[in-house]
Amino acid sequence: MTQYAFFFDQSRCTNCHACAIACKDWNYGEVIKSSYVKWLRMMQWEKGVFPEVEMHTLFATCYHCEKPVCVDACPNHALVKEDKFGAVLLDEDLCRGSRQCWIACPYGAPQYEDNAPGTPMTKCTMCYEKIVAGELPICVAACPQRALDFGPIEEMKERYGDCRALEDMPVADIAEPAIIFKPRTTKQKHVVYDAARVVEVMAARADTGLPAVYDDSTDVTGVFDGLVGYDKLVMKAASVEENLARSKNEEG
Amino acid sequence: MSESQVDEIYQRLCARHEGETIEYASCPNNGCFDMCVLRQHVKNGRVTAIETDNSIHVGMGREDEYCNWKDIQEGMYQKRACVRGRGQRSDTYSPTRLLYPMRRIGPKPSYEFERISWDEALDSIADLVRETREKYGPLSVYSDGMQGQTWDHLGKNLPGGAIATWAEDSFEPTNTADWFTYGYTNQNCFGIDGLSENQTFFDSKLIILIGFDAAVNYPETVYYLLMAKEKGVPIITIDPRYTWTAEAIGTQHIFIRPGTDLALICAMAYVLFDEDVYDKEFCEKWVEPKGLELWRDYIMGASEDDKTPKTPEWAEGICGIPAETIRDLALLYAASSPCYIRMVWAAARQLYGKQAARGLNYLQALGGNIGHNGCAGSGVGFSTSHHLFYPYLGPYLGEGEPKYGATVCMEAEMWHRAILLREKLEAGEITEEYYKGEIGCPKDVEAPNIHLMFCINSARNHLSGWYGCNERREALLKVDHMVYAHWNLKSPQIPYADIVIPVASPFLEGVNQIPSSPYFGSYTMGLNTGTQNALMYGRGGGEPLGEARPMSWIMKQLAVRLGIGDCLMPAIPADTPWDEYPDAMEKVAENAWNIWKNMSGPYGGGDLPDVPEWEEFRKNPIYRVPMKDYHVFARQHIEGGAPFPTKSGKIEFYSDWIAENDLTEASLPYEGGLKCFGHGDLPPMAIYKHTPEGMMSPKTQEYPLYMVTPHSFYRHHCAYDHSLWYRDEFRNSVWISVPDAKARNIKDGDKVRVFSSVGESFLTAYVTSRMTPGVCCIIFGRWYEPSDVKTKLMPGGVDTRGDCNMLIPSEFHDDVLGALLCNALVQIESIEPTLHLDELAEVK
Repeated sequence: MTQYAFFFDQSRCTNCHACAIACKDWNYGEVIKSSYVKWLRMMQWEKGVFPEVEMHTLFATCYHCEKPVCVDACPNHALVKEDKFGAVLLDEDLCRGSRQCWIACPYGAPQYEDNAPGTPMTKCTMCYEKIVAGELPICVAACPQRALDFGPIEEMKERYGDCRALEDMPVADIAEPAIIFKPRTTKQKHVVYDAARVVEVMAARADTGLPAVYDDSTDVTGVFDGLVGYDKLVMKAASVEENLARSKNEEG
Repeated sequence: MSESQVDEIYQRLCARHEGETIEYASCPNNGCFDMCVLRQHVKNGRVTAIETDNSIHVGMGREDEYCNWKDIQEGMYQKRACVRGRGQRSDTYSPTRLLYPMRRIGPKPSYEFERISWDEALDSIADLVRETREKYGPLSVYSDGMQGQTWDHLGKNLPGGAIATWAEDSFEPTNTADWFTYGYTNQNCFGIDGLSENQTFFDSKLIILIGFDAAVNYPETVYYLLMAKEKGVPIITIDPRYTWTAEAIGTQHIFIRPGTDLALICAMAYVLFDEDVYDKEFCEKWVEPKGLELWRDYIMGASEDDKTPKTPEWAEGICGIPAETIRDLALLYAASSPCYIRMVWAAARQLYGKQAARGLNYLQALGGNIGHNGCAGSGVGFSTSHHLFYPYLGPYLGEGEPKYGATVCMEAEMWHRAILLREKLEAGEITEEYYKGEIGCPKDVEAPNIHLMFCINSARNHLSGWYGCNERREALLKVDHMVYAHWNLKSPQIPYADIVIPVASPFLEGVNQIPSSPYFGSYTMGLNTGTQNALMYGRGGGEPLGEARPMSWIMKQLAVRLGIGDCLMPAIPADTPWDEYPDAMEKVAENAWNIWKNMSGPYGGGDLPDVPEWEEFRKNPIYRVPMKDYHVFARQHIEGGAPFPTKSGKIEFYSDWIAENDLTEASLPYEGGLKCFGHGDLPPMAIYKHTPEGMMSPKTQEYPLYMVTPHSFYRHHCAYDHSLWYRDEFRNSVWISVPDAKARNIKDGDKVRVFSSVGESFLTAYVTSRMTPGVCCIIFGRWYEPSDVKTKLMPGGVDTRGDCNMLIPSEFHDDVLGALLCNALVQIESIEPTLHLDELAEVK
């Protein structure tokens, strides 16, 4: 069996969601509607405090794992590991919505339209019909920044190295996901930019004598429970509402 | 697993896209002008999926990993559509798509309409045009326009002509700055071209992006910037927000308070002068010396009327950037030529914004960063074509000069003031001189008297597109009639229309047009602007839903009814039935192609390699040529020695024209019309002042937060806001910084009230360290969605969607007319405790 794998370059991703929209367009059928189901979730999470904040992104879909824990977990044998590409495929006829796959999957890949027990699962197919035809998965061909790639896993490793989990992701050895990562670019200091000085100079409104923007600099640099949005990566959201909310951005 | 099971799954997957054919469109979005490829799957007259370019580098995911670097250097790469192009089906096939012409039967604002036939709709609209003009004269029908032109294609062929407007409702301040500095505007860019093509990044030693969030608007530029980053070019982003451009492209980010860019520029210039590290050779050769001296005096505190040196310490408290950072940045800039330095147009879209745009031009000159490989373009940075010139269809449709032309009698966005102040003028409460000054009407020109808003061919959205929307709403209620063409029922202008007609999607339903733009005759042939070496033809594959029709068809029918059918697109016979119309348009495209293909010289394809026959091109409608070299702005001057078209032939810091004229009286003759600046004034050179709507304004005591309103990934301007797919990808929030949220007891996800002196909105708070304290952000282009809560400020209902322009005053203070105002001072307060993300898990 040849295992095929995705490559995701976090250092190129602008979090535009073109991949996610292309996925919906190709896979969700003709009728246009809102949906909790996201085969492909672009996730963002914020780290650090002003002015040294960082934004992290993740291409979160089914990683078609080499050790697909979902396949073994399904009591109805609805999931299969196909052997030409290593795609993990769902047989819709057999799914009873037991959610055992969701419980097993470390990445939250199984998707549901409703929180109700028995709601059938649905998920990424690796664009199986496209790859059989020699094409790329729709998301990979869609990325305007060429932050994605797809091919035999050995070739992907050769091209891009062997980073198998980004910072804050679940460890990779549980399921051996078929995805290679390149992490975000670490910032440099081309010019001096001292965080404490920034917080100092951002307070006063020049020499106008107007009330300061803030009186206490620890209000800027402190970490306050539950205050900031997207403050961590949560791949397994516990409800469809949370799943949708966590795969949104703030750019619209 | 069994093979048959996999096969069954495979068959099921294949069935979804069986029997589809492929048709193309170029994505005609207005703003990027990138001309990306929409390869459409079509079945039963409907587009069932959209893929993008595979006409080159087939099967390459990370394209540059597989192709030759030479291809990237020569602009031979896929024209991949961005998220706006990819999501078009959810807009075109929206559940709220407009399907039929409608006539109002209830009060305004309301959705009380009845369905009418196309004949009734067109007859009624033509009657309104005719009757209004008869009753109130030719300057009574407003149809939008800019740069001394009109988009009233009917009026300019009727006796008395049409209303034309000056300014641009987009890049006006930057364009004006370029005119004063270089003697160029985008209007005369044919032959000069303000752009530097994307390959310039690879030759830069340093890239500085001020407020320029390329990730949102210019995906192709981003691709090249990312490759420049990977080649080791340092990229410094300067922005009040930590944008995705800052995260993905930038290698260092510096926060700046919005509206203070000119203070930063001045302080950098101070360091360049003080340390004597500016490019003296360049300045001696190319900068007009008197202006340089005067501005230098201003910077150094040696002016007669300004003794403050614009030191980094002076700028620190204004910009919120430590003095040592500014000093370091200036020295790095001086040591890193060629440097690509670019400021977003929006940094100039505010009070005194023209000064910031001029300042950036000066800084480019002081660094000698103009006209060489590795440098940026002019402020506007618009492009024409260098590698090929596409067969633009306009001329081939046979339109000659309009019979009666148009009168430049107002600034482009002042229609609401023209309507609202008219009553006062007629009652004698204000003078004609005052009226004209408020709307930018030159004093020796007849003022407009608007009684019909003809909002058909521009597809604009007057209740979300520009500042002062709450006041514009009032004007729409006051004006006698408004007729409107759009494609989505939720467009906020519809409840104010008398007649509504449905337009076809320019992406998916036939002949291409730019949906938020005026170019109803801008068909099919796109031109790529990132690198200008490709063109395509796109007809779109779907049939218009319901009775939707392309704008060009609508305008032709109206022209026929007004007796001027031959004036609009004479190449399309007036009696062409609808079902033959798309083919008739394609005939024109074919004709254009054949003429272009055989034409030698820069405007034809005759000298280009391997130009296919029409039949072949029609099947694979993307044509590209390898670029021999890339274009940079002003190379013909700096390297070629030609003088700039300014009075001195050099780059001018100081404008004699401004100094010598009273701007309330004078009209600036450029852009084929007259620019009349209204009541305000401009300094002859770029001078920093705190703005009355800025962070140093006393108004902050009541409204302490500066609201910025950048573009969205998911709209171009205000198109597509009702797309359900997009709505599932973002939260319509207001961004607020950590200290500002904490001070207001607001947590992420809370419902808040955002209000300014002119409007209010209920929104969800996005609390983030990505935001400069004292600044908040509502992304531009959302459609006003009134709630049932009516207040004094919002008699139409408090907004619930985050239409930022409902919060921005239509007020120029002592500045001149023309800037597109994009910011306001606001306050935010918590309105109710809400469930947070972590708690959603517990909701059942």
